[in-house]
Amino acid sequence: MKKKEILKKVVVISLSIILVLVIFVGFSLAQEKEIRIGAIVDLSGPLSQFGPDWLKAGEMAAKEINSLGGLFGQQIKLYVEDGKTDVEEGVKAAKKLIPINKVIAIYGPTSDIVIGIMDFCADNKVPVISGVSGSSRLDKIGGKYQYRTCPSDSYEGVADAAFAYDELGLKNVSLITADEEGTLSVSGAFKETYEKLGGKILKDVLISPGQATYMSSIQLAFEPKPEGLLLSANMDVAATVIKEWLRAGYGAKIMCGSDIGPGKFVDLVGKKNVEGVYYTTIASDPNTVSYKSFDMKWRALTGSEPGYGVPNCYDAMVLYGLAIQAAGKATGEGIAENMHKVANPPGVKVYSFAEGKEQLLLGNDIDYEGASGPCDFDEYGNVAGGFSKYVFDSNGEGVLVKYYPAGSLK
Amino acid sequence: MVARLIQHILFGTVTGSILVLASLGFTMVERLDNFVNISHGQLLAIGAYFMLLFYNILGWGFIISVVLTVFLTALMGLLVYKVFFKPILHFGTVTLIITSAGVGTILNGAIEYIGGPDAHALNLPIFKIIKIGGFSLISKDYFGIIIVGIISIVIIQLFLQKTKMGKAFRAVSSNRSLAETKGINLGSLSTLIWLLAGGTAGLAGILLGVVGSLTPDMGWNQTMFIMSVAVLGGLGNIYGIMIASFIVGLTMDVGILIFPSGYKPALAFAIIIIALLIKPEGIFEE
Repeated sequence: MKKKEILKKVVVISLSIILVLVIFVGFSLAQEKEIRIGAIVDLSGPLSQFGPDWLKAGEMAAKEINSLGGLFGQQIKLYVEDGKTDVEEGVKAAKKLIPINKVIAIYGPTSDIVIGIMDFCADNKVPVISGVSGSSRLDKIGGKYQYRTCPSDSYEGVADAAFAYDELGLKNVSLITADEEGTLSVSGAFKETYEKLGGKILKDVLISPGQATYMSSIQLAFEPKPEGLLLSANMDVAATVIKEWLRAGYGAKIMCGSDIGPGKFVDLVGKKNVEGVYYTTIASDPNTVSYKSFDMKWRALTGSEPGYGVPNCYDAMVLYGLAIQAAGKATGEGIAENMHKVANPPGVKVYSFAEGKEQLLLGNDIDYEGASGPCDFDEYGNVAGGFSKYVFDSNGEGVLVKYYPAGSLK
Repeated sequence: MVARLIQHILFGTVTGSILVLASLGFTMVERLDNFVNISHGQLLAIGAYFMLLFYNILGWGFIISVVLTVFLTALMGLLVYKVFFKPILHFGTVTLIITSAGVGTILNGAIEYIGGPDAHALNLPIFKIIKIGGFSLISKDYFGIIIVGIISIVIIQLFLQKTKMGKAFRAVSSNRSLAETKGINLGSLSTLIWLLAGGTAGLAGILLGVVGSLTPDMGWNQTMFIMSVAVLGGLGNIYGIMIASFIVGLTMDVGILIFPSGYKPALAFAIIIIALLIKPEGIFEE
């Protein structure tokens, strides 16, 4: 009886061990068949108006890559973390994705987060690519493990300055800038360019987000009675400032940066109140083959036109796919070594992942021309990109006023 | 120059009026139960979101929305007390403070879960600034905020001086053991004070919604200022809080006439550091 019980226990324990081993081996084999890419996207916080679409664009590109047989028979799998528009949350996400989820590359974070995680990623040989990290602090850093498919905020500031001076004819303006990485970049570039063009900055007011009201700061900006106001702030701060500006009846032309746009922002301020407010978006040339193809697929998927940064995010994921294909192995180092090769000339121009993969398999060098633009990286991983200036109409919709193509802004 | 100064004083008074309401409940609770309730700021956010629900989403009238918001936030304050704090009151201050930080995080998460991560606005009409003799002052709704602040101070003052419960509160604040031996019912006093704390926080939340956007983190953003006011006023000193709120508001909004505007929040903390270096117990310590 005792022997029987012991035998029973041995059988149960042995079976349990075998079961655990089978599960472990099974998972390991499954893991080997997937290429893990971490996505840090702002699904909440002030940029949550855009974050879900940025993620969707990356998922769409990954799905296309997978549907074409993946990369060496392996499928891309995205491990998604919410950056919450907060650098601390972004750093936490990277510290989970790299050591725990073992991702080989990171996709999608915004400027503050890129700056917060780039050293950690480079130390772990994990590239970071973003379609929406505009900060000018990234202008002269990065290049091997850090790339972006959107233009620098420096260019956005230049576009805003050129628009204010040349198109709106404003000879003097005041600035209100939220004390945050991206918004400071835009204001800094605006100030420099606008003064070079001959415009005068009457007041440069910095505000810290999170206050109940900004009335006193706004009053300082208005005091010298400027012809225009550049408001470089995220969505909820910009909404409060615009309402207080209107409340005071200050009247000057208001220009905002790229953190605002139709939709949520209009709900915050009110349709009637946004009329006449200008805003900026990074923009693609709608006439390129890549953009037309992407636009069609995006509309079929979402039923809406591609919003702010969406083509750039799509290109970011396609470039990961092409760099891995070119490297012949799915590693961060492989991506870093091949990113410039697949994105920049010389090489056969390709306009999609499918074309790129085909040319790479034929042994040709390629030069990817994406939906967002040429995607030619400089030595620091930056691209030149286009911008559009819109103005809100009485229905809260954006009306295109001026398009600055990639490379047109010096 | 004088007109400019007057306008900034009015801005500071508006900020101070909101801070008074935001800090009163915090201080009363500190006075009654002797702990710093870090989750108090979340009651402001709850108030703002109740207002969003009634006024914007359900489309009810402004006054009825305000009354319901204040009432329900008061109940929320009491609920938070009964569920989280009352059972652990005997564990002492440190446990209560740590618990309140946890409660704050829970409430913040609940607000974000229910209200969503995006910013919202009450979408109230925008009133133009009032001008007298060519001088710009502030808008009608901002004057309304100052009036609400002043009325609240008067009501709290009358409550403390004239009512039996107010006197009981003052007695418990001065000497809890002695007050208990004199037969003061601490249970009903706690209920009333937590209702008041929730109600004033709800009203402050509405005022925040009037001037700005509603975000899930608005409670945490205000917590820093509330605690600054409380420290400056002398922890638990109701009258000190009333004065400290306006000092902080005026320091920020008038101070930026001299200092760079980016330092506006820092000015509030600078004055607190200076005040505490001179008088560590708070400048209005009783």
